[in-house]
Amino acid sequence: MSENSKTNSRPNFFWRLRTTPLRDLARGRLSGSLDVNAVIAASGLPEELALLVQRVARRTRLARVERVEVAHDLLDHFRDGLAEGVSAPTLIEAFGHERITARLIRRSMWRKRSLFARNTRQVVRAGFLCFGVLIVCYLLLAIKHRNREIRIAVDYVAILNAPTEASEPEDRSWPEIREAITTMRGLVGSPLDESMSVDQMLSKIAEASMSESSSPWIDAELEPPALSVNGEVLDATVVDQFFVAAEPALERLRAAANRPLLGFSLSPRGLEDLADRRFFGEESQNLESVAREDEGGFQDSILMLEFPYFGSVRLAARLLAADARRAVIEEDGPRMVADITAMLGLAEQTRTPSIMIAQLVGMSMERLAFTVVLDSIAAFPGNIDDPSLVALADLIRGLDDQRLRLVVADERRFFLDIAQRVYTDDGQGGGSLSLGSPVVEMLGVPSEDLRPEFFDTGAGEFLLGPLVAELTIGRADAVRLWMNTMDAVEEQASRPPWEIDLATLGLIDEIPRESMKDDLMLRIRYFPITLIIPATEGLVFAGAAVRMERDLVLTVLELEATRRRNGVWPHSLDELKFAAGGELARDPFDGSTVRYQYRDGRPLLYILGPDRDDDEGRGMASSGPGSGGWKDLQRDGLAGSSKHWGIGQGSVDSEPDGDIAVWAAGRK
Amino acid sequence: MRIERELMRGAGPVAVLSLLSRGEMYGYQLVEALTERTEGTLEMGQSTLYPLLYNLEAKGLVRSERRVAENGRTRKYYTLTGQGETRLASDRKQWQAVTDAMQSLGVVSGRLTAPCLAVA
Repeated sequence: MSENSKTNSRPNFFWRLRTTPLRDLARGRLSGSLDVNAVIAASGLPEELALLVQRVARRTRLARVERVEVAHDLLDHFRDGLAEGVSAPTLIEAFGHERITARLIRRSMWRKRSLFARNTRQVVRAGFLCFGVLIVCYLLLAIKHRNREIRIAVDYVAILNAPTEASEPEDRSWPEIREAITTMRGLVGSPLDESMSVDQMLSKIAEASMSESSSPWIDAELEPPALSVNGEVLDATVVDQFFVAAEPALERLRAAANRPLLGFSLSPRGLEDLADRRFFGEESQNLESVAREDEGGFQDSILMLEFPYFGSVRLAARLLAADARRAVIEEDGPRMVADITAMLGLAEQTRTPSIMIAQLVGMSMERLAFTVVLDSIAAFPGNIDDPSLVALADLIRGLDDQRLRLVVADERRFFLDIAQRVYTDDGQGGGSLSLGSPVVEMLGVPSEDLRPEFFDTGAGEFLLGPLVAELTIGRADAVRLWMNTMDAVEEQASRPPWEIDLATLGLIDEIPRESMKDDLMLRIRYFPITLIIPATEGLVFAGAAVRMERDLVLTVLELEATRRRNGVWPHSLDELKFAAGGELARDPFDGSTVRYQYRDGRPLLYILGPDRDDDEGRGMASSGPGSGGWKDLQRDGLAGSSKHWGIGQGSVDSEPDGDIAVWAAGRK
Repeated sequence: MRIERELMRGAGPVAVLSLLSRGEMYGYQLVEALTERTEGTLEMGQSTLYPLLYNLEAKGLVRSERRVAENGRTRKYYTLTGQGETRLASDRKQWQAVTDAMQSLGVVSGRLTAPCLAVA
């Protein structure tokens, strides 16, 4: 709209409302007296003078009421000039420079304002200025943030698969394990009920073969398998027939365990080997559709990997454990040693790739093997022939600290893979968090108060992305924190339980993890580290426990060797020579050698318990199934006999009185 | 004769206060009076006069009142306040001192003769 048309246009209702002083409105008059254009138009001045006044008034950039006042003054002046006979061009020439005049008028009118109004104006102006600067800075930040890109430079899945890819098929145990279990699936007969899978039935048979008298463990007699699992009783003939028929498959497992590596090919797209898909009952899965469904940034990442074979190798280990126990009853020492060897071999294979869950699964298999040995020596020491006993000791002694150590190298790669997908890459190991949809979908958001859908939109990412990128730690810091945690895990797990310091594991950048739960700013700053960093306390104790259980097994084997030499159980641990190597197991509660009692012709090895008080082998009164006391004393099948071996925590004041028996011979 | 801007900045307010000390005046009237009585020496355009008047008003030296004039139009009339009179008296003394100093230096000769602007 031109200035002229503006001057002559008829104002609408809302414009009049806007240009009416409150005083007039209060009187019910829609005067529009603050409409500068209307005032100028009503003056009747020649157009060039009217436009001059209009321009000057507008350029003053004053409040509406002030502009009207200025316009009135200038109009009066020109009208007086015209009345005196001065021509419009002369008046315009005498007026001076419009812009300078407008500026001078603006400044002088400001001075007329009250002190409060002037200060308020300055404050508001400063506020707008700061806000503008902030907006500009934020936009620059947004541009900088958008110009940084995520670059997936390393195929960590390929690194995990590299050993398998580089191996010969005959070096891989997984295909043999798969075929052995497939064979055994065909031997189990009908499941106990319709809802039970074949593997569950296999597991049932293994469990029933191992179960015997319930705790307290030290009073247990090795008896024929109870064949009762959770109240369901299996036919002994069925179990016996199974193990007889399964011997070729078990032998296949033993051979598989002797191979260099497991060789399961991992893929973020799921099971790619047809035989694997058939084995795990996923023949119908369409890999292409799976790949298309996930368009996020994680479709090729370690995060998408699944490890379905964990359950299978654990089942294999349990079947071998059950067979080892049967071998002891059948006085077949070599077979028992072969089964234990196979269990430990499978455990070692399972520990690669070295992610935490794989380490835990491998450790559980190792501890199961140890428990079978401890139980066998306790109940039927004479059933194992001398050469087998020596072979068993050599086997266990061969599990040095290096072999049993906790390794989390691939857990480090796990985070590096996530980092390259959620952080931008500055080419020097740095970068900032990018709030793309994959991050939100896969990892969540720092707070439940923030709606994931908002981050998911382009506008949301543009508006909040730079802010979050600046508020959160960068890629280099995140990687450093993760690696520090992994360093701490490996270092703590290499210590004996009584020297483990959990405090270092509970810190992120020297800040307790617990305190982060209640602090939104900390949760945002350390996002996504706080969401995905694993709880590692149990892991380090498990790592320590495996080594201590190994020493317990060696101690028990030495006790049995001494018994065979002397004809009776030793009266003291001083009689143990460890001629072939090894040393006495230690008490995880105080680091001293494990305690021993020889009472009524029965040997007992015990540890102090959380009260760290020697009660001469007397068990805790409150322990036992259903007691609600020290629940770790409960025995849960064979694996439970030494499960509390790694526990070194607890306070003297709150824990029950008494010791924890970790091994005892059941027969006099 | 055009007066330097800096000099005008000092002379303008006291000249306007001096004119108003004789009675109320409106804007155009002030411009005319300044031109006539100083023979164009202190001639002011609107671009100088109105900011000057607004400043004097902001300082409380003059006050304005818009009212209907004899010719039926509304005009804004400016009058000197008590504070303005005090200021004018002070300014006159200062200008007299300056004039005397200039005379003694031979920069100016004689006394100011414009009746309405003459230092009392």
